[in-house]
Amino acid sequence: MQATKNGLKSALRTPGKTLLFLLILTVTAALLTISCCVYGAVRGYLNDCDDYFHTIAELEYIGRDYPDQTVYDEAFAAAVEENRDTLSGLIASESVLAWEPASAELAYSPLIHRKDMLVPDPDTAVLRVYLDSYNDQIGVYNAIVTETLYSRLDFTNKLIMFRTLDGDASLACSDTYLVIGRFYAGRLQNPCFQQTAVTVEEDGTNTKLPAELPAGASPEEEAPFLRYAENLRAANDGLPVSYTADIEDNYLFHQQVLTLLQGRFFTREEYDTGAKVCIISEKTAGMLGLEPGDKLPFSVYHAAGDLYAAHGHTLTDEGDYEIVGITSHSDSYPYRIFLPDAKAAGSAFYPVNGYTLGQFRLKNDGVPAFLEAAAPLLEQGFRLNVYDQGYAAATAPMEELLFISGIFLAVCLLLAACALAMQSHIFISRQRETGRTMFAMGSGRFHVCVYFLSAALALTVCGAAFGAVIGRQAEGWVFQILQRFAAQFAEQDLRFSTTRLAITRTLDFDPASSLGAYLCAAGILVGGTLIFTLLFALFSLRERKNAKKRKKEPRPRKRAGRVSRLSGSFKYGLLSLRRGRGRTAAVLLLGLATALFFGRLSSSLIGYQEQLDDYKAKAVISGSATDCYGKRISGLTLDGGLVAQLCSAELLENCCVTADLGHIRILGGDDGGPINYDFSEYNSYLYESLFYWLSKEPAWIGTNSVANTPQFHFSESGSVEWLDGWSEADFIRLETEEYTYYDGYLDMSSTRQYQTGPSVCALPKDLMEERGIRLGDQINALAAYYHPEWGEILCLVQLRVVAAYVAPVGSTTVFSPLTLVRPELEDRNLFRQFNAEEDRDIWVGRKSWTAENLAKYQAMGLTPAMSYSSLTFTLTDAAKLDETRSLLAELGFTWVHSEERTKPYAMIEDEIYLNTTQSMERQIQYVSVLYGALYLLAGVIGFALAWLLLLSRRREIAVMRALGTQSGRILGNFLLEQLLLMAVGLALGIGVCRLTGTALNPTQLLLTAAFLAVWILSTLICLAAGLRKRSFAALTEPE
Amino acid sequence: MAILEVKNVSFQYRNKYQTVNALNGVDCAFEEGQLYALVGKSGSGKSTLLSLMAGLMLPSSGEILFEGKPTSQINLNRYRREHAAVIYQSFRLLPLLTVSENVTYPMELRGFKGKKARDRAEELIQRVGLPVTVLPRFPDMLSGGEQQRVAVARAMSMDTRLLLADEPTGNLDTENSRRIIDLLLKLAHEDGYCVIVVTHDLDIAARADRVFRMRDGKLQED
Repeated sequence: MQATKNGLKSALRTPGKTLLFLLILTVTAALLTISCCVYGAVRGYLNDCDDYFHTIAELEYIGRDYPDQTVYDEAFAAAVEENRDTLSGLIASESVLAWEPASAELAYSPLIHRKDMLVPDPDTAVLRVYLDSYNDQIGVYNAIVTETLYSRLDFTNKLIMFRTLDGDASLACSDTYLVIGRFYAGRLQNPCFQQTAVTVEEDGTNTKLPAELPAGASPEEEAPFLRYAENLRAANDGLPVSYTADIEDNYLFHQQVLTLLQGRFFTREEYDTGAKVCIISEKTAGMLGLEPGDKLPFSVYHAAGDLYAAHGHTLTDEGDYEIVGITSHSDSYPYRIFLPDAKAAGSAFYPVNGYTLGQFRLKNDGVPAFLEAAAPLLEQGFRLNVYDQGYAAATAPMEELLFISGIFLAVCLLLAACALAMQSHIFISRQRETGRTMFAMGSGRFHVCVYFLSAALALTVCGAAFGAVIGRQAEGWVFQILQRFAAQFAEQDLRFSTTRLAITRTLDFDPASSLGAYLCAAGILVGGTLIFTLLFALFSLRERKNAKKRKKEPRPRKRAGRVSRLSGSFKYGLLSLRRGRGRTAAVLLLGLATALFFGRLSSSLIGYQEQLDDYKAKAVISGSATDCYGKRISGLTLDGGLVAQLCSAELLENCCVTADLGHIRILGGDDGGPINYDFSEYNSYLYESLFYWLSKEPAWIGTNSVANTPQFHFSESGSVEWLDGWSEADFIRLETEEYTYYDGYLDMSSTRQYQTGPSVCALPKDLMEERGIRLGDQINALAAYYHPEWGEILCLVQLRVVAAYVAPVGSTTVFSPLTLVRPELEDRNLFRQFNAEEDRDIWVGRKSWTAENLAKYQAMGLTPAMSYSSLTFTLTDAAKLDETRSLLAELGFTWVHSEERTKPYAMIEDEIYLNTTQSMERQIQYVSVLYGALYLLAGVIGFALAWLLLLSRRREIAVMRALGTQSGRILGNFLLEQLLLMAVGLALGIGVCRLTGTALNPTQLLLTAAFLAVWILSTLICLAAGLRKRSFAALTEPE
Repeated sequence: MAILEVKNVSFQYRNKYQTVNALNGVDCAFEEGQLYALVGKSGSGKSTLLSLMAGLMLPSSGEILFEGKPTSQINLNRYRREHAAVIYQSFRLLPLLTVSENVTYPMELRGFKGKKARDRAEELIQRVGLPVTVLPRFPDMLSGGEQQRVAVARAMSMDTRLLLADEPTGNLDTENSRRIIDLLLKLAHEDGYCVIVVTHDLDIAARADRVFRMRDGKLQED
């Protein structure tokens, strides 16, 4: 108690020092408090972000009909099988929180009769027909539908035109038959019905059903027909069902494609028990007049393969499902039903209806690792769409802020440590004698420590309290600055970016005061005081040992003499430089280390910058026009004006456009022998069915670059082999060529537009091998082509095969030059000569044209083609990403994820580029801040060392002055000595840098020069202090 | 004629709490060829008076006249360089210079350089009773007595007529003290120096030509 009282008294009786320490501690405490608050607020925000944002990754397959979600693609199933291990590994990877396979089943309810356009097979029917008579002229039966087992349109007791499988009169009139077929729009008044052959899969074997069953067939014989009808009904009237383990993380809700309008989401218990509850769309609710709380009876219709194929299905999970919620609907998802099922998670991969295999729930910060782990899959035709709801956009600036606040906190901690150490040291060293006397008089170490601690703690507590008050006042102001800082980062231009395609949520950075931060700061200060005071107090009580005096043999006179013979003002400086021994070595070493340090740091920073520049220079960023989900990049309708403007801008290269020409049937070979169709003005079915069957043939696409078409866009594994003498450039050249037209019953002379442009094509290698076609062969083909003016027309074409390609995923597309179908296009910029007569209105209504481009191209007499179905491109310079974004926006492209928009969408695949550059830039920023702090630290150390070195020589200075040496001479000597020493040290350091392979750089030289300047400055300051009159006191000080 | 006269010199040390009158109207005069001893208790002001006489400080009031000229009117650097040599209790040799260089240093300040200076240093070292082998040595290689004799040689090298010594034997053993006193007496009596020694050493006081006693900032002659 007495020691405490005395300690406090000692602090009070040195008010000057106490106030000074109090001031220093107050400032330190305020800074520490603010830095703790900032660090805590930013860390807290990042934690909140981690909870608030959920990251999912949708795994898709880029099949031939991608992104159609209703097809069953065998190649997809095969790819899943082939990559089973990789997929399992990916699901088990650390970044993955959960895996939910895409469940695609159908809910069948007798209450539901769908009449929308998305019904998968609307025209197929199972009928019992009575054949009345046969019409020889057009090859059809007049038949009456006696029973409709399944048909969307009910023609019971009505007359239809029935055509048999082979179009012959093989069936007997006046008989009744059970048949399967499809209605088509013929040119006759009555509905036309074409019998179709059906193969069903039962128990793993394919069975071909009889073409028809006559009346009197047994129930067993009729059973497959009845099952087929029921399956057809379920497939057509069924509503898509998704089982989900967490509906809010389901892509549709995660990305706000759908939102909950009424009711609620599923509860955890419902997920766990698989309760009979469901969430339906407002369209379904409207159609059936349902509300939350009502029950909807249905069975789930499971498929082993193609969900929409009318065979091989089973109906399960029958029951009345309570409706707990009603969601919005979209054109793509009008009737979706959601069922809770936690069991959906796991390692299951099937079913694979549609092209979405499932979705991963990822750790927000685990995306890079996940993408790395998924890389092998992406080379196999798979694609990952990562959606983070804006996590990266929200956290990126805050990560920067966290780093900066971390540095600030570290500096404040260092400052606090220095302040506390200084306070303790000065306080205790000034009272060392007191302490020692107390000790000598019998006070134990404990009492001495208490004496010192009480004063130091009192000071610290007061300082911490004042600092906390100041910190509290400044906190709001600092937080405002931080919010502005965060907002500034958030204003990054991320339009069209795949990384930030869907920012669906935002979390405001609203930092609040935290008691924890204040307590933490106070704890650090009190703890530091305790440690330093105890350390110094105990140190002050230590017994000193007498240092041994150095006794060395004298140096040879010869060596000393050479320097001694020097004369002039700087002699002493030069002598002491040489004889300073430890001091000289220390300064030299400091110089050497500093130069090395600066060299290493600056060269590493320059190295990072060079790496970044190099990466930016070499990075290739591609992009494409897309649908509003950022998925579909073909089959679009893109305004030719937009495309032409975009491609003619100097920001893009390798612009690849495609125009869908329709479908093409390659004639010749074993499979596709010449079709000898009986074209007849009465045979309307043939005409209709020809288009129907042609629609099943390969797509025929005109393009200006085979290698950049959407089929190749998502992967680099595809290849194109060209016939000798041909290349991409030749593919779209213009030439005049005679053409062979089909000369049949139908007048097809209107196909004369194919008179220029090379009549060539690129075929898939598989198809060529299958048909025995080689590069250079001429093929005949029948094509269905949609002409903007005349509608869909048929034509026979002769094409030379000049390229064979292997697409990353199976593709049967036949590519022909864009100039073949758009011969008017004059160059790769997709413009053609403006024809005043034909193109009178071409510019009218094109709001997307910029005024500048409009004037420019009108003046040049150019006009763009009408439209394209896809567009892919590459940026000429990755660094011009923002300019490209601006151009896209200026031209009317949009990046907003919304189905309601009618604008064309565009997507720049900059995810890797942004991730890489941002990571590198962040690294550079971190390193810059860190290095800046280190440079500063080196400067401070240099200053302090120079000061200390000179301080230790104050007696020398006093003696020199006492001997009458002029101040200028002393100054010159010491400055020369320190300058030379440090300069030599730094030069040595630079030399060592060079020897170790670090190239000299201006930053290093600048920093080195700055350090030298700091050194000289501190020498000067210390000398100035040493040359004061009071410096003579050093002469009488004891050793 | 007195080489150095102290006329009514007062000197105050000030700090924020108090002003201490270290010297209070001191009057005295010193002549060449004499060894003066300034004795007194600690804090009596004798070292302050020596500092004023050495030109390290100027008096608060009164005058110190060197050859009749007040030190306040002389460039103190020049005064210290050319007229007043000081020997300190702790020797105050420049640690980075050899014995030879320490001795030649004041000569070089006055433009006396090269071989002549080195020869003179050798001569002075021998005069103070040290062998020439110490010339290339550094101060920390010498004993206290040797260092003090080097300090005397350095003072002699300044070619001044006034030699001030502040407790020159304070750090030395009896034998070395005796040698230093002999040396100082020799300098005063044979070389004509005016030697003023601040000391507690009764031996010095006993052998000094005149003894001044300082008491409470005032000077009294014994």
